[in-house]
Amino acid sequence: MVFGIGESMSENTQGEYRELTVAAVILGVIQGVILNLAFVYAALKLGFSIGGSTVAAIMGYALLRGVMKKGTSIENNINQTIASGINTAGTGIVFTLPALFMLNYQWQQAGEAGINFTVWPFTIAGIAGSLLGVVIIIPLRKQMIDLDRLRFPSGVAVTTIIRSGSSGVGKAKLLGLGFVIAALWKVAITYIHVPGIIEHEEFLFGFGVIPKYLQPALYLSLMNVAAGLLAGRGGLSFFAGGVLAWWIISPTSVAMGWAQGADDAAQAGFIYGKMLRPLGIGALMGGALMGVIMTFPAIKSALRSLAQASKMAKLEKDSGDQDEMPFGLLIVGFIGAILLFFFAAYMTDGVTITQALITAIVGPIWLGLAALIVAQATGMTDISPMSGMALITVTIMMFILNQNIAAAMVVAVAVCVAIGQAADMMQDLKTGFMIGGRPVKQQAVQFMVTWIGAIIAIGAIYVLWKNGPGGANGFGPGTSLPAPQAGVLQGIIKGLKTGNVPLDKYVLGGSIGAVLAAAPLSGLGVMIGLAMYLPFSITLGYGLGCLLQMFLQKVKGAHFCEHKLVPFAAGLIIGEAITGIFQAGIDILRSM
Amino acid sequence: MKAKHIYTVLFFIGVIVAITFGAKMPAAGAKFSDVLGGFFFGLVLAVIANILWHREVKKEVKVLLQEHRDSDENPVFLLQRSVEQVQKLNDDFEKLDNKQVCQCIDDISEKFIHPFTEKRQTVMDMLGMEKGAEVLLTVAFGERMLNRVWSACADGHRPEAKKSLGQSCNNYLKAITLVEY
Repeated sequence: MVFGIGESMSENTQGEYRELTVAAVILGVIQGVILNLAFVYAALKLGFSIGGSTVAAIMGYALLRGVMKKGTSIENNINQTIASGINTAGTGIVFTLPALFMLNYQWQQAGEAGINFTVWPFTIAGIAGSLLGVVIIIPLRKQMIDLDRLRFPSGVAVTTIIRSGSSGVGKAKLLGLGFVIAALWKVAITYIHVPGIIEHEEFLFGFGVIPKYLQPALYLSLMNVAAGLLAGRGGLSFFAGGVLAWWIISPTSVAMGWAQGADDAAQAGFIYGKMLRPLGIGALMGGALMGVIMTFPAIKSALRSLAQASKMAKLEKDSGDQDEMPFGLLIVGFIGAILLFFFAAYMTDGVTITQALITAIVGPIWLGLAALIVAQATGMTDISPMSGMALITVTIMMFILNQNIAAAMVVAVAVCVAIGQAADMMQDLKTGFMIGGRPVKQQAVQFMVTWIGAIIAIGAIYVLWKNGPGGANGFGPGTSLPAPQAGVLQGIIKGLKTGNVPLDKYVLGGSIGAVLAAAPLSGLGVMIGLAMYLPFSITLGYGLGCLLQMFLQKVKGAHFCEHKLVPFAAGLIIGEAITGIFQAGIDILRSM
Repeated sequence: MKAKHIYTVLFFIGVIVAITFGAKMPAAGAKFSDVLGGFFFGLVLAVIANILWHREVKKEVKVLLQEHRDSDENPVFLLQRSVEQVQKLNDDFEKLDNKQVCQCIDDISEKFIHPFTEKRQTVMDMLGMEKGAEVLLTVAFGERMLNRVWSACADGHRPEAKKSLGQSCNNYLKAITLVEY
């Protein structure tokens, strides 16, 4: 179904250009609810979840344009914005809330005091997070998309889908070719297992010669390489951060005797867990904070432009051309956030008014910073350090709330949902920018419906938990839904309870991140922090993509990269995403 | 080797030294490791090199303004060309079919708009952050409207395409008038 330019329908000279329509909203909500439930289940079972933008964009294209014969590109954008927003609200919850159920059960089984909690504060926190994620985007959009021009690889891939029919057969073929290659590759590497060489979708090129503390592994994901292809030279600092972490710091630490461990594998684990990861988290935070300070005049200009747009919209009233959400909404949203954080914290057992008040102030401020970090990281690399942000949230809140785990998790739920929403919304707004959509309409629909995702996800988790023997333990180790991500957070909480916080690394990493962010190269603090936070196998694959793009640009020119490489790379991203979803579905059906 | 490159290298040496020393774990019971001195040495080196690097970048921008007024290296030149091309497209809109309009937009984007946005940091350095941001935001709105023209033409909605093209044109004109040098 490939339409030529202007040939998808007869010249429509009557009526408004279809953008925010009932059809787009209904289709988006239906897809969003289905994707939300499916990915909550997949995340509990397999430990990962996938954004739904690509699926929704394809379905939108097929139904709005193919079946209804009147859908437009920007209408499809609204559809995929809603679907991915409802889906993403579930991701933030499924990463955090199950850990609380599992910890409580574990401690009760061990005869210790459990954790007293109900789901209502979490429901409020989830709804608050959904709304706050949209509010925080209002000022961030101008900074990251209009000014910084962050790439948002998935947003670019979705644009390619939406425009695939109109961009000409050549680009559609390249998109399809990338799709097929990535799909076949994904299936192949899922089943190929060569002990010591290809394990868990990684190519281990150490061959027993290169020590493990140099991380000789390459994540065999074409989606990861494609993100690098789309970033090009701009993503090189991310690769450089990985090289710095694993080929300079790591061997130096071993040579100096700083890395504990009986063998090189144990040393690598120590270096990653105790040194690089916490330094990377610190660098992310320092880089983001300094980034705000350095670009404050630009942020001021962006906020002024927002306020002016609101004034103009009031004067022009019904022009329909308002592009931004009203500036007042930002203020209302911030006040609303303070109130919601206060009530969600205060409703939790054992939280005093003073603690709730401190949470209400610190929570939104930290949420804003975390959203900035995650949106920037996603924008540059398509990778979201959500687990790192959840860790810091729980750390800060357990300190403020006197080790009250339930209350800390309430805030963690709100923050994770909000930052997930922010990152997803940014991808969608990038798509919107590239196809000429009006941001206000995308933001308005997110506001209207994505809180549904939070409620659905919490309900699904509650039902799945109660589905266990005796009305509990429906997921967790030893069950058919092992919830591996929640297990990681569980381990972090246990560590925090014993006072195991690498404060020195956060402080030193923060200082380094701040200095990096002050350099005349945009986003250096966040990129290098992220590279230290992630396994090198991911950074290496992304870096190879960047280097390949730079080589092709030099040899073939910018035109080739823009018109051939971009659709092909988009196809790789979409192919792997769709195949991953398909495989997850098969795994779930097999286990039933 | 240019001074800018030397300062860049010194900056990264400072960062590497700081991170490497920062990685060491503190001894049991201590808050920080015993190589904190090395960390601070690297950090101070990076800060000094950073300041000198920024100074060199500012000098380069001055040279760009004086000696490369009509070159593709100068973002203001690229912006001027973008404005001319968008205005021309606006004037010729009725004579072109949808496919031709989309092709024109692709050409303008590839030759002028994307190269301009690649030089956004230079724009900030030239005009200062606040003014530079104002120009870039105005250009971004113009570009988004141009993308909307493309979508509207692809979807066969000429009135929307014409309206959006007018808005794009206005914003590009506004952006160039904001630039004073």
